[in-house]
Amino acid sequence: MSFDGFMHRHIPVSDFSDFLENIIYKSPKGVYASCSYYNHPAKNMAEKEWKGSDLAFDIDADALNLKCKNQHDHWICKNCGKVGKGPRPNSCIKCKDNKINVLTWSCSNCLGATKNEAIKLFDILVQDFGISQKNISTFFSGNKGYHLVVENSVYEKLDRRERREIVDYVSCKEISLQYLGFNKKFSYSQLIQHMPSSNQPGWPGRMAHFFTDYEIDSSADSLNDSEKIAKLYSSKSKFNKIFKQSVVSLRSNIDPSVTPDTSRIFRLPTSLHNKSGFAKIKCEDILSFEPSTQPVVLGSEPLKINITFCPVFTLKGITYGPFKKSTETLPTFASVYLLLNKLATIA
Amino acid sequence: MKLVDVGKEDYAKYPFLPETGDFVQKLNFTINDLLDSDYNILENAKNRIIYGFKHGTSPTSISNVEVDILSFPLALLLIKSTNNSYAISKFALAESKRIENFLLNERQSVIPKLFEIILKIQPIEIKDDSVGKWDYKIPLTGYLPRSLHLRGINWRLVNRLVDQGFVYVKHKEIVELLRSEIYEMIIAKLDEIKIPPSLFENKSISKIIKEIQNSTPRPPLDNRNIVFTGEYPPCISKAIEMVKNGDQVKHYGKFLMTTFLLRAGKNVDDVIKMYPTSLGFSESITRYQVEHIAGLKGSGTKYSVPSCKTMQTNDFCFKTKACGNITNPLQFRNKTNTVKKNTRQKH
Repeated sequence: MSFDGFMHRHIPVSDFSDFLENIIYKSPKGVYASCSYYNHPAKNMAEKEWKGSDLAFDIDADALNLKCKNQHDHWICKNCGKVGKGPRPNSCIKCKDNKINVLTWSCSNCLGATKNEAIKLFDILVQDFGISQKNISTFFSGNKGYHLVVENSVYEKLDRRERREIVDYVSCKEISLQYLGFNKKFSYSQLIQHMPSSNQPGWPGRMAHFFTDYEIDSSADSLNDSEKIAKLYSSKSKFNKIFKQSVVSLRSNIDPSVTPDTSRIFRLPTSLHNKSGFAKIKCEDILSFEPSTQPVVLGSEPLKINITFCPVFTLKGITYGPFKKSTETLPTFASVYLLLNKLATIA
Repeated sequence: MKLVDVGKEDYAKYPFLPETGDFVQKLNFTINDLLDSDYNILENAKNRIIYGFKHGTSPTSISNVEVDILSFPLALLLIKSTNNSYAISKFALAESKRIENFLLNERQSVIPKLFEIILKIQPIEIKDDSVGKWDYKIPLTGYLPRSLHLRGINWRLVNRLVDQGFVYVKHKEIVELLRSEIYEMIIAKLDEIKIPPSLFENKSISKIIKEIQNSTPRPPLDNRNIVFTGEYPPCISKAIEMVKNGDQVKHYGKFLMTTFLLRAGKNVDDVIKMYPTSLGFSESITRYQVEHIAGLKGSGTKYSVPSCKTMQTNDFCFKTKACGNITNPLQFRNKTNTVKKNTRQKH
C-alpha cells in the first residue's frame, strides 16, 4: 500500500533480494502478502489459478465492543476541532458539522481481551479441528489484535462456504440447545440422561464444563454433573442467561469476514503496521507475550511533535499523555504512533 | 475397489457400482436390443421416471433384477432426451432418494465399503458410546462440502460433535449426507451420455419421450428476474439508512449494499451518490471501490450479492417476516416489487 492509500497488487518477486529491492525502491506505507497459493501468482486474479489458502483468522479489539472503548475511543470534529469521548455522534455537538473523524484507541484491557480470544481459538483449532500445533502461527497484528494462520493443513482446499462454517463453529454462532441434549419436553430424569458431559469433545464438553463450574446454591453440592446441569436448565429464565454467558465466554470472537476470504491479503510478518508503527511479529509463547513492548521496534531517539490531542497510552512500560494542543518531545516510537494516528505533526 | 458379498440384486439397487457397470457390459446389449426386449425394458424405464415424478422417489421394489438393472441406463437416455432441466433434476433426485432408501435398510457388512465408493472417504465405525450414541465419524473435510447442501440447523457444524478433525454422525445421517453425492453422480452420468440421433427415429421412443414430457411437473416460478421498484430487503434498507445517517457501517454492510444496488438496476454513478462526501466518504475511493465491485476495475469480476447466510455470519442480517425463506437478498419481494418476467423457467 502506497502513501496515497491505494493498493498496488500482484507484484511478483523472484527472490528475497528482489523483494528487498522492491521494498526499498517503493517505500510502501504497508506491506501485505496473500495467504493463498496460486499456479501463477504474478497474474491478475482471474488468471492466477487458485490452489488453496491457509486457514487464517483475524482478532481485532475494535470488534469486541469492550466497555473500555467508551473510555478511550474519541471523535474529533474536522471543522471545529471539538473532541468527544465514546461513539461518533451524527453531527458535532458544538458546530453541528457532520465531518467527523473517529479515533479508536486501545488499552491494556483491549490487548488482554484479544489475547484471550486468540488463546481460545488456538485451543479449538488443536482440539476440535485436529490441527498440529506446529502448523499454527500466532502473530500480533501490529496494532490491536492477533492473526492466527494455519499452514500445511488438510483445510487448505476448503472453499468460502466451508470456511464460513468454520467461522460459525469457532464463533459458536447459532449453536442450538437441542443438539446439546436440552429439550423442554424432557422430564427431569430424561434430561439427566441427555445432558452434555465435560468428558465429551467439542462444544458439548466445553458447555458442560462451563455449566458444572457455575455456582448454583449449596443444595447442588451433592449432585453429580448431569444432575447439576439438568437442575440449572430447569431454572428456565436463569438458564437462558447462563447459556448466553457461556457462548460469550467460550467462543472465540474472530472477524467473520476474514476467514472465508480465499484471496485475502494479510500484513506481512515483521513489517510495520501503518497505523501504529509497531511490527507484526510472531508470538512464540502467547501467554507471556507483551503486546505493548515486544512489537515496539522503532528507536527511542527524541522526536519533537505538535500534538492536537491524544488519550493516555503505554508503550514499553512508560505511560504517555493525555495531551491536548501541545508540543512534546517523545521517543521516536511514541511520536510515530501519534503521527500515524493523525493526532500529531512533526514540529 | 470391488465389493465383496454383493449379488445381482445389489447391482440393481446401486447402479453406480463398478460391478453394475461390469455386469451390464457383460450382457453386451445394444440400444436396439433393449428396445426389442421381451421384458419391456423401455416401458419399465418410462415407468421408473414417471413414478419418480409422482412419488419423489423411483420405485424401490425390484421384481426382475435384470430388467431393473437395464432400465436405469435407458431411463438416463430417455430423461436426457426430454432436454428439460427441471425433469432431469427431478429424476436425479428421485433416483438418489431410491438409493437412500436402500442404504437405510442395508446390511452392516456392506455399508462402510459403499460409503467409501461413493464418498471417497472411509467413515470410521464407532464401537463404543463414550462420547455419545454415534455410528461413524468422518473427516471434517469430507463432512463440510456435503452438509452445506442440506437444510436444517442439525447439519450446521456448530451443532455437531467435532473432535480432532472428525465429525460424528449417525447411520441415518450419513445416508442423508450421501444423497447429494448420489444426485451429483447421476447428474454426472447424464452429462456423460450422448444421445444417438437415431434414437428419435424410433417411433415408440419418440412417443415415450412425449409421454414423459407431458408427465413432468411444472417448475416453480423463476425468481431471478426481479426489478426492485419499491421496498428493499431489510438489510439493504438498514445499510442505506446507516450510510445516510453517517453511522459506522461495517465493510460487509457496504459491500452488500453496493452489490445489491448494482444488481437491482442502479448504475455506478447512482450508487456512488448514495455515499455522501459530506459524511466523510471520499468520492475517489468510493468510485474505485464501486467500480471494482461492478467489474469495471481490476480483474473484471462482477461481485455477486452475498447470501443471507453470509450476512448472518457477518452480523448484518435484519430479517423480518417479509423475508420468508429467501436465501439471498435478491430474492426478496413484496407487494411493491414487480417481477419483470412472470414466467416459468425456460428449458
